[in-house]
Amino acid sequence: MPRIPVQLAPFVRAPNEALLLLTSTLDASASWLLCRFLCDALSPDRDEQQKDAKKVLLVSWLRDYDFWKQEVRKSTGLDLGGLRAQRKFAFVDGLSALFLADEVEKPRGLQQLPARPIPAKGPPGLHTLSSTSLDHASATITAALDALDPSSSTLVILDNPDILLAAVPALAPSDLTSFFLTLHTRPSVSQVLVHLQSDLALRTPSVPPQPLQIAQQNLLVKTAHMSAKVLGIRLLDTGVARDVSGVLRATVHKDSWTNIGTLGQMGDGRRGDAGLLEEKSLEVLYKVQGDGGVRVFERGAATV
Amino acid sequence: MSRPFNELQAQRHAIHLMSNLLSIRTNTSPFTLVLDDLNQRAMPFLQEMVIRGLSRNVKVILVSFEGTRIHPAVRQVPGWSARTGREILKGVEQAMSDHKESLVIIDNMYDTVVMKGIDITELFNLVVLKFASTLVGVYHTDMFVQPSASGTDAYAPQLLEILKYLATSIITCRSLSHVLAAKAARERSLPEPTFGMATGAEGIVQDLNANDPRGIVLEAEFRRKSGRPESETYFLRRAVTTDYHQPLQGRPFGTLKQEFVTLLRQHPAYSNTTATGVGGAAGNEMETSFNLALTDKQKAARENVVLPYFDAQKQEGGEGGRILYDMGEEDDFDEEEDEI
Repeated sequence: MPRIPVQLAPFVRAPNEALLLLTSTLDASASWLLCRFLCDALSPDRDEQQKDAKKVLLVSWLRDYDFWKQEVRKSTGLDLGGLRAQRKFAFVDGLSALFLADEVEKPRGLQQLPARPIPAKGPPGLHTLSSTSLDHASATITAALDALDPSSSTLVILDNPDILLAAVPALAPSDLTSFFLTLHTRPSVSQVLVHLQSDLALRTPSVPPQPLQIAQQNLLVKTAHMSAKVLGIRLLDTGVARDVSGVLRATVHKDSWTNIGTLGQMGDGRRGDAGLLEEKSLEVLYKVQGDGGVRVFERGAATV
Repeated sequence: MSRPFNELQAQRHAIHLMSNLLSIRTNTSPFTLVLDDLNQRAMPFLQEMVIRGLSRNVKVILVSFEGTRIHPAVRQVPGWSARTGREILKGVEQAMSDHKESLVIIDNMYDTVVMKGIDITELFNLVVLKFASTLVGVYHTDMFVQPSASGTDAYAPQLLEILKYLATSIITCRSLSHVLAAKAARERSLPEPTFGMATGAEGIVQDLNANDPRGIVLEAEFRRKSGRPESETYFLRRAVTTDYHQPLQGRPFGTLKQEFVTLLRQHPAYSNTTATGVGGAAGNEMETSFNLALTDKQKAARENVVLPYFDAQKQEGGEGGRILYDMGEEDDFDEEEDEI
């Protein structure tokens, strides 16, 4: 039995070498989809000839390792602990110690902190962020990437880095997007998936507009402009339904600065119509079941 | 000023203007401002410019804030990693210095001016006056302007206003399916639909019909040297390989065979009077689970009903204002009505 429903496959498959954006709202969490991304990249039965990422680095600012471990095991059956030992998976914890650095590190002096990431304690593949500075995050992520198996490329998942906008008032959205791009320039990284919140309350300006709303909107919009694919998760527009958890929308943007020269033929003049499912914008409904499984279906095909 | 053209000449003139802009003819438009949003990104337009530029041996320089992996024929000045605006300007100058004619594309004007603090006139002087080249700047209209913390700029004009003031051409990018939907709504005197983030719906970032694969609609305003503006709306379809000649030795792209940008009103889907938009403006009927239309039998029965005024017409109005009404069982005749 495939761990990923067939209908979901075009969503989690992404153009190689691309930056992706995943947005979610408070009511419609995206953790189930992130687990599928993990599963798609990490599952051992992947075709060997494919060049896609086969390792994952997950950086989470809002959820800790235990959450992801349980969630991934429940929904896809993968054992993150084992994958960590094989150096196929690494986790950077941005939640547990993010604001505790001062207390822990003061006796040793703050000077060495940004340059030297804290070495992982215990088993390999677990790293902890202890500062909100992006330099520190970069250094820690670099260390985590270097520790991974060098044979294939890596998918980097950044889970809710937008929390930093709220935590660090001096941080501009463009600093964060630069941070994403810097990660993406590393040769071992093939894809970067950024997960941001798209709740209206966070990004629609009130009167007078709050700086955080403007920053969130600008971060979201700019990251969307940079991305080759935008995946959005939201509730049903008509409200809550018992047999539908939410709506998943994928919009693609095929033109990028890398493929300027790749022109279509006259025959397939409307490439979008004849294109692969992975290259089309589409929308489906999904239902996350109690056992962690997920059902994906077209609109109007809900009942079984 | 009177327009001596007929329709065909006007069309040819308008397409010529756009063709010059796309092919980066010298002195056509030193500073082109491209306004885009998530519903239609500027990429197809820029791509066309880059291909035509490179095919004519114009050097293309991209000051990038939003991409790292760039086609090798395009010289990149990484704006995202540079610490200061000074570094970016130096990079641009260096990149331009070894070539006669260049096209400088900036993929995010907001970051250039506000975040990196580059003075727009300084940039203009460098690219346009010193090197006599073309500057193209992209501005995302769905980004908000962050007010400065000190509030000193509260009375200063917004960046977008300044850019519009300086630009010699302004291109606004729209998705073809959105333009068609808006037109369909207009023809029915309905409010124009909104798309993507503008709908204000929770969680929606991009519209499903954004970045139409058929092509891009460009609303252009050209400012002539005389100061006279000319506006026109164009449709630029997706380029295909047969649009270009084989590339010459050492060049990445071949030159254009024949101009394929058209006016939007020449596009069959737009000029068609029964254009149906995806916004659903054409399907004006109520969406219900039951059928509101009539069957043939019902239609026939309906046509057979003789309505009261047909009776009245037959009698040639001779009876004045008699009310043709037969009292039913449940009616009771009330005489006292007039006495109140």
